[in-house]
Amino acid sequence: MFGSLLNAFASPAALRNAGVLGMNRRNHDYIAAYNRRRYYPMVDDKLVTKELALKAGVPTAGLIGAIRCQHDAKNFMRMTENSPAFVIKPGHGSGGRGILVIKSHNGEEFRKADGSIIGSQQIYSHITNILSGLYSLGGQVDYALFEECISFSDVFSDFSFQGVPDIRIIVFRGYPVMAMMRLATRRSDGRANLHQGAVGVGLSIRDGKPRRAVMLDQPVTRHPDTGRMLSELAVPDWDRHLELAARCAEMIKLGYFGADIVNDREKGPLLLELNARPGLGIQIANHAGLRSRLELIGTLPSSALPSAAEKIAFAQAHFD
Amino acid sequence: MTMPRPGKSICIIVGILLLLAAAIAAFKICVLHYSFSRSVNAELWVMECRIRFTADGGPVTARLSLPYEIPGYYLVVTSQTPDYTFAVQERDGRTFSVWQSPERRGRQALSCQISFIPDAGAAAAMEEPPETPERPRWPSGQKQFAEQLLRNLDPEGRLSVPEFVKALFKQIRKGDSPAVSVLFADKRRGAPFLQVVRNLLAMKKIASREVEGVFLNDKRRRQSPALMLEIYYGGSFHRYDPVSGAVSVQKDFIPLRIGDEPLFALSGGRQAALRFSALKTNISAAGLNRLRGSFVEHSWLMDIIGYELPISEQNVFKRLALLPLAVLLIVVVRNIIGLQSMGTFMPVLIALAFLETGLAAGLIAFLLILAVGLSARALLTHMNLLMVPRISAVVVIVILLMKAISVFSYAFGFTQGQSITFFPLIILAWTIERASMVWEEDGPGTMFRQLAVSLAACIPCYFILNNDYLQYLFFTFQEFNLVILALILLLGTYTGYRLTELKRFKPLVSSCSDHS
Repeated sequence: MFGSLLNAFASPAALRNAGVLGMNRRNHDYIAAYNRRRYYPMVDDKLVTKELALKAGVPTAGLIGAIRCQHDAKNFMRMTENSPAFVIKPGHGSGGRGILVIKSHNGEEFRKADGSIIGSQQIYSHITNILSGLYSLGGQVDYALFEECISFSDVFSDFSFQGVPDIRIIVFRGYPVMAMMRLATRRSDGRANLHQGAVGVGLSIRDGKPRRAVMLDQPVTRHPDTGRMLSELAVPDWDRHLELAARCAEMIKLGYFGADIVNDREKGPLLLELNARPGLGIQIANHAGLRSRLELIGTLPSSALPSAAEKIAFAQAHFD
Repeated sequence: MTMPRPGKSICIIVGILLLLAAAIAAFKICVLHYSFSRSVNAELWVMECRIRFTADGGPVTARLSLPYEIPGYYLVVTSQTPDYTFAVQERDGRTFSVWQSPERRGRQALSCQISFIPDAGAAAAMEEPPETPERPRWPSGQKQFAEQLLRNLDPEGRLSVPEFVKALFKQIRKGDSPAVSVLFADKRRGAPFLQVVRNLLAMKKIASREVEGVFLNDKRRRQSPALMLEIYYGGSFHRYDPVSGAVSVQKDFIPLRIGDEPLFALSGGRQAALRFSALKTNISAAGLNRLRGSFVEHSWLMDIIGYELPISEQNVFKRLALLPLAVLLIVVVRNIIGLQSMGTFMPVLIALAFLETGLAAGLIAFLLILAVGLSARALLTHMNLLMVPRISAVVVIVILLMKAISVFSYAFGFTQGQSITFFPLIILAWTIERASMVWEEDGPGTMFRQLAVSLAACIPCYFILNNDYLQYLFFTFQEFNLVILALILLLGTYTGYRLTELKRFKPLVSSCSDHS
C-alpha cells in the first residue's frame, strides 16, 4: 500500500529530466525575474490592456464603455442600447470571475449565455457587486467594463459546453513557448478554468494541432459533455494566433505572461486578456515540460533583437 | 529536491543573521550564564550574613571573607546596608565583602546576601599540593610530650595518614594519656585546639589547614561560622570534623576562609558577632536567567532582551516569541509541501485562539461557528448585498454566535465556553466569507479540502505555540528568531518542486501514457 502511495509521486529528478517547471521556480526565476511589479497594471487592469492593444493594433473585442462609480450604474441601459450582445467584466477580475455574458436583450429582458432570462435589476446588482470589489484581487474597489460580445467561431462549438473556448499561449521574452486550448465543461460550470474542471488541450506551437488533453490533471480523449474526439480539434489561422501573442509581448513590458485568445467568426483571433501569472497545468495538457523550453529561450542573447516573425519561426522550429 | 541556489546578497544577509544570532547567544551563555536547559525548578541558595558590632566613633572598615568557588555554582553578592559603601574586592585570589564608612558610632548592623547560582559551566579549580609543613614550635617543655605522644601512637612509623589521624583523635578523646593532658590542657576546643592538632600533624610532616565556614542548610538558622580541619593526603585535602575527629561527610559545608586569614576583619569597631542563615528557593528557569543577567553590569542589554519589562508585558512577548516558528511552518506548508490553506496566516491566528480555549474545545467552537456562519452567509447571498455590509453582517452574526456559545456552555457548566471570545472574530468572518466564495466558485469539495488543510496546518502551529520548552528557548534566546528569519529568506529562494507537484506532474513522466 505504501508502495502504491509512493508510486503516485514522481521523483524530483524525473520531473527535472522531463523539464517540468514547478511553481516555486516559475515564481522565482520567471515571474519575479522578468515581470516588474510596476508593469502589472498593464495586464491586471483590463481597460489598460485594451487601450495598449488598440494603440499597438492588437485586435481585441470592441469596447462599449466602463462604469466606475455607483452613481453611474443605472446608466448601463443607455450604454448598451446599441449593442445587441455584450459582456460585463470586472476591470480587475481574474480567472473568469464576475463575467456576465448577455447574448441578446430588448432593454427589459436580458438573455444570458446559458439561455436563462434575467431582469435589469439583476444586471444592476451585478454591476454593484463588481464596483464593491467582489471579484477583484484583494477586494479593492473596481470598475465594470462593457465589451462587445464575441461571436465565436462555429469550429469549436462541438468542443465546449456553453462558455468560451479560448487559447492560452505562454510567451517568454517574446517567444511563444507553449499553447493550449481551454474548453468549458458542465463540471467547470461553463468556465474555461482548468482547476474548475475545464478540459485543457495541448496545442503544438508548430501547427496548432492538438497533442494531449487533460481534465482535472487526468488525461482525457473526448469532451466529457459533447463526446467529440478532442484529437479532431483544428484551430484555424494558427499562425495569426502566434503573431497576436508575440505582438502582445511588444506592447506590454512583461517578459513572462500568458495571452488568452478567442476566435471570432469574422475578425479572427482576438486578445481576450493577459495573465502575468499563467498556471502550470498547460504542461500536463501538452505532456511536455515548460522548463526546458524556457531555459532554451533564456540562453538566447537579448542583444540580437530578432523580429516577432523570427521569434515565431524559432519557436515553431523548436517546440512541438 | 533541488538545492536552493540563493543569490549572493541573500547568502551574505543570511550569514550576517546567523553570525549575529550566534554572537548574541554566545554572549548570553558565556557572559550572562543563560542556559539552554529548562529545568523547571532550579535550586537557588541565598545565604545571608548579618554582622553586629559596636563602632568606636571613627572610620569603620569591615571585611568579610567570601566563600570559595564551588563547582557547579557561581556567587553573586549584594548588600543593602545604608550608611556604608559596599564593594566586593579581590585580593590574593580571594574575594571579600568590604563595607566602609567615614564615621560611625554605636551599635551597627551589616548584612549581605550571597546567592549561589547554579552554573553548568563552572568547573572546579585544580588544587595545588601544599608545601611540606615546617617543624612546629612548641611552648617550653611541651615538645617532649608531643614526641612521646607520636611515639605511642605510631611506634614503628607505619601508619598511613588516615590511620594516624584516626588514632590521634581516639587518643585525644580518651584523654587518659598524660601527654594529651599537657598538650591540650586549656585548649579543648576551637582554634587553639586545632592549632595543637595541626602542630602534631606537622611533626609527622602532614600538611593540614584550618577552614572556617557555614552550612548551606535551611534548617540551620542564624548559625555561627564553624571550624573544620582539613588534612592533606592522597592528592587532596580531606575535611575532618574537629569535634568527633571523623571525616566530615556534610556536603553542604561552605568554606568561607581557608588558612590563617581571618574570616572577618574589623577596624574602628569591636565585639563583632557573625550570624549566617541559608535559604533555599526554587526558581523558574526564566527567573534564574533573569537573576543571572541582573548581576551583569551591561544591564541595558537586558532591556533589549525584554527581561526588564513588567511581567504582564513579558507574557505578551512570550506569545510573540514563538510566532516566527509558526510562520516558518506556514512557509513550509505552502512552498515546500505546496498545500493551499484558506488565507495565508489564518492557521496561525486560529492556533493563537486555540491557546486560550484549549485544542478540543477550540476546534469544536471553530467548526460550530464556521458551520452556522456559512449557513447565515448563504442566506445573505440571496439578498444581493454589497461586499463590506455583507462581511459586516457576518461579523455581527459571529459575535452573536460567540455570545450564544458562551451562554450555553456556562449554563451547562463548561468553563471553556467563556474563552471563546479569544477567537479573532474579524478573521473568522473573513474565513466564512472566503469559504463561501470557494464553495460557490469551486464547489464544496474544494472548500472542505482547503479547510482541512487550514486545520491541518493549524494543529501543528498550536503544538508549537503551546510548547513550554520552545517558549522558554525562544523567549530567552530571542536571537533564534534571526535564525528563523534566515531560514525563511533561504526558503524564499527555494526553486525546487513542491511535494504536491511531484504528484500533480506525475503524468508527465509516466511513459505508459496512451492518450494522444
